[in-house]
Amino acid sequence: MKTIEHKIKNQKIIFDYRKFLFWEKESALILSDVHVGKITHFIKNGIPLPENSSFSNLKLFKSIISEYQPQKVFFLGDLFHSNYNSEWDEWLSFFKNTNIKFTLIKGNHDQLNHRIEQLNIYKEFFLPPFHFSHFPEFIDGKFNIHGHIHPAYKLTGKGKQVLKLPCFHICKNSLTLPSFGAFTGNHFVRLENTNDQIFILSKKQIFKINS
Amino acid sequence: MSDFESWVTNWMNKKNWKPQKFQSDTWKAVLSGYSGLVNAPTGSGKTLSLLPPILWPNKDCSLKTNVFCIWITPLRSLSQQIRISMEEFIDDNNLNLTVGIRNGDTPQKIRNLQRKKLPHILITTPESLQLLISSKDWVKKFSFLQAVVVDEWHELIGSKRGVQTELCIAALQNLTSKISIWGISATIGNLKEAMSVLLGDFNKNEKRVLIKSNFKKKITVHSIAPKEIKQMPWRGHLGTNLIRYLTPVINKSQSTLIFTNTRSQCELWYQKILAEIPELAGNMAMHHGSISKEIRIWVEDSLRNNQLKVVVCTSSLDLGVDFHPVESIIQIGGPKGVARFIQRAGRSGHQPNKESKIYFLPTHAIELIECSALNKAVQQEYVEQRTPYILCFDVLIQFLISLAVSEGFYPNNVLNYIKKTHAFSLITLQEWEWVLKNITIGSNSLKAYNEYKKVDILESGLFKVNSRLIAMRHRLQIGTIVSDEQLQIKLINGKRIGVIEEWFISKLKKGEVFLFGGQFYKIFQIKNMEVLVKKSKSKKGKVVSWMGGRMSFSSYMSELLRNELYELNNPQSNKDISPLNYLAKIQFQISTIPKENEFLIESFETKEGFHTVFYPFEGRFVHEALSHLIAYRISLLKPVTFSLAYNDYGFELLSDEFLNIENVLDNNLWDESYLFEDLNQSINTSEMARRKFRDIAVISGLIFAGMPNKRKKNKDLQSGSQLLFDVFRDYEPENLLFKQSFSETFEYQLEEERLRKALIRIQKQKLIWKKISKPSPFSFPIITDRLRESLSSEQFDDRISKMLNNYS
Repeated sequence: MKTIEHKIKNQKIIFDYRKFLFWEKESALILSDVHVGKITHFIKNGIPLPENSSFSNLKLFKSIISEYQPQKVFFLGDLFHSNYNSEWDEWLSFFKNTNIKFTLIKGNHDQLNHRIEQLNIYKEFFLPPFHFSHFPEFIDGKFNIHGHIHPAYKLTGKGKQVLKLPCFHICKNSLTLPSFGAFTGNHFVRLENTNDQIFILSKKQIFKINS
Repeated sequence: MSDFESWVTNWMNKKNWKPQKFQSDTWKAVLSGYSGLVNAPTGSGKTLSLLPPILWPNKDCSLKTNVFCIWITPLRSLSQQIRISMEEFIDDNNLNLTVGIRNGDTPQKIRNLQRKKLPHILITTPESLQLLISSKDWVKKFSFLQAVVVDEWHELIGSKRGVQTELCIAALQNLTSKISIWGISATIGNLKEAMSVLLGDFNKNEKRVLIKSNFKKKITVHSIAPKEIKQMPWRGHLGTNLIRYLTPVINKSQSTLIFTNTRSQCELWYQKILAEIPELAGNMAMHHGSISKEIRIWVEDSLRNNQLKVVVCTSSLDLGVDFHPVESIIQIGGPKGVARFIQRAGRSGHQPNKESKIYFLPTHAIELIECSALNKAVQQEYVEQRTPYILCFDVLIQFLISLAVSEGFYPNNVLNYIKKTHAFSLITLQEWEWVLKNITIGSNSLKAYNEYKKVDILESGLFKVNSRLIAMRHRLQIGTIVSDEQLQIKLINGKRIGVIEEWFISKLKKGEVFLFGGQFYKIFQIKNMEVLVKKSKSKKGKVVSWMGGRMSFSSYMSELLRNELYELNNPQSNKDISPLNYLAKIQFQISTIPKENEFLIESFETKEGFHTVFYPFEGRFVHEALSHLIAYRISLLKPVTFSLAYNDYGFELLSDEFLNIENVLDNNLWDESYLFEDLNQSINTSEMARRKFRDIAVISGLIFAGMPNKRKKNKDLQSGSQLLFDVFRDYEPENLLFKQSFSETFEYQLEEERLRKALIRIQKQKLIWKKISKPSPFSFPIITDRLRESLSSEQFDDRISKMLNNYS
């Protein structure tokens, strides 16, 4: 499967294997933890990484935009890795040249010392029935969609097989997004409650884990 | 008798010592300006073979004179002892000379004093020497240098620290040509090579000499094992139920040193011995690399002063320190190599002519075979070779940045002298230019990447680091020993206890209890790379474990072991092997014991899956390579996924479906042609090179481990080596550091030559395939190993779907 359709709070949400959500009613593409500028930040600090590795994120993002044609895009934090560097420019000029409304929730990595007119920046925001934030936040009665964790799941099988895969993690009142950025780490999550759901992602597909 | 000789001999006479031939030979060689290698064991007076002739021309030197001798030791714990014996000589002869130590344990106050002036004799480690080279005015500081001594060179030569030492010595040689270089080494199989690696290509006029002491030590090996095999565990490496067999040895000895193979084993045995012999409380201590330096130094001093009855330790106490009082040595579990075993044995009966006694306690049944093999090796006085590393670009990059941080360097000058080292004698111009490009303009940038900041090229052509931040970060990074992410363990009042690896602590929750340094601690808080703990009265808790440092049998040890094993076919009354007869009986009942011309493969099913276990008896490293090779070759025949495990005896392929050996065997499974190609493919599909890359990334500065106590500030620059590995694989596979992870896997991990020989041997053997209903005694230690790798030829998404079916 390339996508899974799943209803949360009566809203139809599309989960895509490329690590983002599409909320149909709002025509909103939702993604988190892109970490734009991370490669360049390393290079700037004397760590010689191949520069061309920084282009893949934007290329993928552009192809997703043209496929889904959203009216809005929500970044749930850590869109940028650190301070401004040249890697940001191509993203910013892309933001500028579309009619899409871009919203960023400021994450712990976003050092926004650079003026960014193309983005609406919030600490968190409510768009019923959801509460969007970077860090997981638990407010009674609100369903929280957030990033920050970079969740991944350890899939085990017969013959001591183990595969580690990024995932979406849905609990009773929250949904954690995987990190969109190609150059980011992971944090392992487990199925803790019987109602929890985990969708794991390979390079080609999305899979549902039966709990 | 010359003035010099009467000077030293007089002093020795007062101590009731007589100069030995290797000592007076070395004196002469040093005084005539030779460089060389002294082959002498611990406790033979090796320091005195080199110290007096180095002091002799300087004995009237003023306090203001700068350092004239650098004495490099591989382990910090050796420095104290060396200093004490040097100062004894200096004081007795009323010399006005200073001896100082510079290593990771040196307090800030003394560092500051040393910044103004170094002592006449500086005892240091390879890492600290490189740090000194990365500090300002090092050229001036070392301009008076006359001699560099590398103690315990055999410990350094087979590691990247050896390469680091070679480079530092080359830089010093380049300062002044008058320096003589001396190494001291215990016996290894390739002493001549060890000397030429150390001396490099510097003194062309062949003023070099290898001096061997004819010092012979009688070593006796006693095995401590239960009479009945039934009391032996079949697997595991703990074997603590055998503790009561230790008690008599401990009780009858004035002092005992107990060697364990891992830090967690050390922790566990300490605890169990204390429980078994409670009156040892206060007279027993523990020593391993993760314990804080205060405690380590205290243990070393107490050992020296005869204040401890028992010390449980790891290889951290392996080397030379002369602890005269130690009476008995106990080795717990297989020591994996003959040289190591002999060295450990040498820790007792230090006085010349005194016999060294070592007790061997096997921790599981099959180690009984090892015990018997070791005994033979000791009698035959065989020792292994240590293979020197070459072309370590990670170490070279680190070294070049050190030079650039301090006074800067001119590439041609440096290339000139590093080509004289053994490690880089074969560096090509392209490689050298790549390295220079890597530190100045960055990676494979098509355009000049103006944001990259590391080494600047000044107008004069000098390569120099101008950024203070880069310089500071580099100094914190120096060192080639890599371990997992370390966290400080501290009591709530701030007292440091030691370090622990992050992966272990991540398995514990707040409030849980763990055992460290012989004490139980409860986790209070984990914050900013620190674990705050409280002492706990609990008598139970998790034993801290560490990942690194699994050792492998040497090829000689493997051969001895195979021979012992074949002998199991004809039971006899050899003292070590008799408890084994019971084990042999069960192995025969369930499966079989191979004869010299036979190769055993066992297949059986458990709830984990289908096990296929192969027994080449070639040592862990060869099995690691063989398991990958065979798994890869089988996976070409059909889509399959294997989980691999290996130890010194054999290896296992675990799969989720039955593997019919008859169907795969006739496909040239053991063919040695295409070995290189197939291994290359299997390494690409496995994790081996990835693991090597971690060290390389840290050493070359790709991964910044962070500054002590300032972790948070640098979070932006942290990344896992796994991610970096992927980035290079996908975007710059020609990167030399990336490629080095593969060449290292081949040359040092897989030992291609040994593997080829093993394959040829196996081809001649008759294969015996046993389909058995339950695990045999031989298979037990292998199939229960938790460290595993995988190799698959199935489609990734197919594997996911298959595994997901288990979940429903």
